[in-house]
Amino acid sequence: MKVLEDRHSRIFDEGFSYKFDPSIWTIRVNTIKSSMREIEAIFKERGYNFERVPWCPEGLWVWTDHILTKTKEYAEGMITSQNSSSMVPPMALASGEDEVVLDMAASPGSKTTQMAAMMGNEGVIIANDVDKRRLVALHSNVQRCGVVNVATTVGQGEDIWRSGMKFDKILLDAPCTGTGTMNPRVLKSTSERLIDGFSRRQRSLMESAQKSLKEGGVLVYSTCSLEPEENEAIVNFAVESLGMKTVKPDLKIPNEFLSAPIFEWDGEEYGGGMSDSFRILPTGKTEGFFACALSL
Amino acid sequence: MRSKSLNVIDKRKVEDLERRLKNNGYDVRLSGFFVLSDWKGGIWISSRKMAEVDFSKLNVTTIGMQVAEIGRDGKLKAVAPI
Repeated sequence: MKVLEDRHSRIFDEGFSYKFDPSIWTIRVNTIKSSMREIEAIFKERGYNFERVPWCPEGLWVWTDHILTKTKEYAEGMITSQNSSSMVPPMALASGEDEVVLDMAASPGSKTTQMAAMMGNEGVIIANDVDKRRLVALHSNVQRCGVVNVATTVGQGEDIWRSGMKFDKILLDAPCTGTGTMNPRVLKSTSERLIDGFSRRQRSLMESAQKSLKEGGVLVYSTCSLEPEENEAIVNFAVESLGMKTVKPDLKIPNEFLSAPIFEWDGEEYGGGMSDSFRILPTGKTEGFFACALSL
Repeated sequence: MRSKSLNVIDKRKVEDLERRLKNNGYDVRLSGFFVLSDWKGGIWISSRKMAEVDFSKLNVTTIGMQVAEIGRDGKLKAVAPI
């Protein structure tokens, strides 16, 4: 814990403090089954307070004592529960209706179903996960949200390039320490050794993703970790060793939710491309998150 | 699941499926979707683009959305909300 406190004091601006707000729900309106107008009208009628997420037209922060995942709208797939930070990678990827997209580590599927809705339920998303048990949640979300353009697969992300398939777009939301969630249990169990272990795996996944991307395709790398070894170091590896370049998506994320890009950490320099990345702060409304778009 | 198992039904079959679903009490309209059949004892719908993908080297667990299960008696048993 002390190690992380020291690290995070170097990452955040002076004076930053995290305040958990248990009364906030973050939901995304599933445009396959409903619309923002319809859901806002329902919430207004019930007296919920809500606010739109600035960077995602379908995102809402909702203040209510009701359990939104037990509502009729949730059961019917009109809304889905998704942290506002995790709406960023699909927005950055901006996958289109005729594209073949790979979601390399897809479970539980909130980003998968977001991409499916953005694609108008057309095109194809291959949603992969290494663990068959985790696919149960993904299957359930796909069914509930009325998504038809997703095929789910089980396998090691590191080996997916061996299929020979090439994708227009790839989302690599990599397995990580999860320190951006600010979950006390996660913070307590995270060590330098664990961070290094994830960092090694993330490099392998990035290598596999790069080999699976079409020339001119776009890849978004993201984690819910705050640690530079899991974020900037992986993007830097993609740029320096795999010949990729960073891209800046046009996303409207207010500065109050962002922390400064990291260009150097423990003597390792990450290069100017890091100014294209998004480092989202853990606030009451958001989880700590990192996302960066790259192209071949 | 191999690509050869992807059995894309033609328009007449889609209409037949719609009729069968309606006979089972479901008011649905499947036009605009591709329908994949005879897989895992169910009826699945997917996007048109799905038929262009070669799944032969992937370990596929689902393709698209399952809309119906076919019981041993040949009757449709369950349908997802469409």
